[in-house]
Amino acid sequence: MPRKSGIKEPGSLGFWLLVASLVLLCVPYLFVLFLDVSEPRFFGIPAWFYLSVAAALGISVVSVQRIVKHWDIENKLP
Amino acid sequence: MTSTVQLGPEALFVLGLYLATTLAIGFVARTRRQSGAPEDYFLGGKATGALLLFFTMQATQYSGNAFFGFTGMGYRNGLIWILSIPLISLIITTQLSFAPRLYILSKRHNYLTPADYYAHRYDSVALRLIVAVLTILSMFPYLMIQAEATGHAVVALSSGALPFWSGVVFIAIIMGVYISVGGWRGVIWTDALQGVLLTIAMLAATFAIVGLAGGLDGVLSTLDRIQPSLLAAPADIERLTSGWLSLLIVSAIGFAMYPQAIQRIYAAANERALKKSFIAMLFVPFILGACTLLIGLSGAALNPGLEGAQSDQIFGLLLARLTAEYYWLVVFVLCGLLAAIMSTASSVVLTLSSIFTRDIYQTTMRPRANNRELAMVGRLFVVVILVLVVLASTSSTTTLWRLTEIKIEFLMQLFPALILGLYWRRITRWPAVWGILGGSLVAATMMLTGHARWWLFQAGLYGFLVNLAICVVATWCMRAPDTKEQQRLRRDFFGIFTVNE
Repeated sequence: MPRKSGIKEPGSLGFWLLVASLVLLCVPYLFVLFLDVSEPRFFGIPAWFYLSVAAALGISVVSVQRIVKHWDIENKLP
Repeated sequence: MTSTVQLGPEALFVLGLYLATTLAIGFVARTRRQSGAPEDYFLGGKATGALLLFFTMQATQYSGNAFFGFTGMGYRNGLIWILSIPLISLIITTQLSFAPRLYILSKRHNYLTPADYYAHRYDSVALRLIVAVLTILSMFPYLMIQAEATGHAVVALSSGALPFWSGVVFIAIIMGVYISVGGWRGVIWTDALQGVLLTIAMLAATFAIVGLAGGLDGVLSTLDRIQPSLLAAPADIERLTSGWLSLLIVSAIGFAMYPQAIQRIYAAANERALKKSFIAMLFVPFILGACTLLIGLSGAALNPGLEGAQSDQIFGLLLARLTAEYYWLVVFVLCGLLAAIMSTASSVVLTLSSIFTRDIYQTTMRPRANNRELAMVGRLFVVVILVLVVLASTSSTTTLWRLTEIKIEFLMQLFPALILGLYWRRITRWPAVWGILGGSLVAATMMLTGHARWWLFQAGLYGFLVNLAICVVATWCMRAPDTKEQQRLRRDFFGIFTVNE
């Protein structure tokens, strides 16, 4: 059912698909499938670690974006 | 565990000062009471602003488990424990699926407990009782762990002058007083103090412990030499999935269903306050998650060889090594640890008290009880549950993390009925009841038969999938709600958010 005029809710199919993709990126599947879980290293730390941190940051950033831009209910209700 | 830390009587004085402050906060909170209504005692009149809401969310989420369980996970698993960051931030992301609507509904229909929503949405007393009992049973062992941790912290702070049981009893009495006297305001104001303390304590402990291990470079080079497996991720897809992807999914859903977390959504003064506290909560894991990882790695470099539940003791062992050089820091960190435990325990106790009062006492025993009686029963339950927790707290041979997993695997069974009830008007009470019972039964059976993890996923996740399937299939097989029920759902739920309802 369509939402009432002006109401915005953070959940959407696109958002949840993006979150699911970022969760999969957090878990170092890419390195198990295509690279090495120990190499390459940067500053002594394996590359998969940086990708996991970046994906975790991505989850927080897209969540904040949804909260700020796509969550407005209380002010729109009578 | 921390009993090897050697501290003097001045540490006991600092502990006393901290505990006196929490008591004073409880009594000041009492003077701010607006009314004798249960909503005021249990949820502060639903007027909590963004800053206090953030502190109470943070302090409640990070318990003694963060110091012992999380550092133990970092110790056992190494660098892959960086996934503790998404593990925690995904809780808020998951709550975005239901918090916006649930917050509005809680204001309109004056919800006090999580089961209030289920009972109202599905017009079912049975569902209220099932949700209440499942929640209390899931959370009780968690309280036992917190009680056990307070005992160890007090033994450490008193250098053994106070025995384990006296620590548990003493802290339980302090908590009982400030919860009973101050109610919600007493709990969240102490949460603010405790949240600041635990954050500073965790940061300070991390810097000191990493320094002790020779800095980050020293930790990495030592691990590379003695335990290189801690610097690599599991090298096969099955282990990554069963160990980590499954964990992320179960944690995101299970932690999001914490009853105290749902009550914090109800308690927000307005939507703006809730949004601000959510935003702040999304970034806290980057600080505290990194700290637990660094402490765990440093522990593995300095003190290798601990296994199973023993590895949860690594934080205490590291503190003991720090005592000589950083005496006051260790005292401060132990107070921060106590603050982390007390903030979580007091929030859980108050929440369980509200659940017992509203969902069990008022529903089954005294439907006509007045506000004064309900508030009195709530206070009495606080005392009763603390006594039960003290009596039941014993040393566990299971890791703290495993006990946490068991709890969230049961709590996640409440998610399908919550989310489907918010967005799907066709679902009725029986599919929701069967789903929760079926999911919980599957999870319990698998755990009891030694299949806590089977193939790729944890038992709770299989239960969750069965639960979801029951809800959907049973709803499609049953008749749609009758006209009267549809009108009720339109008026009280869907008509608030959507047109053409």
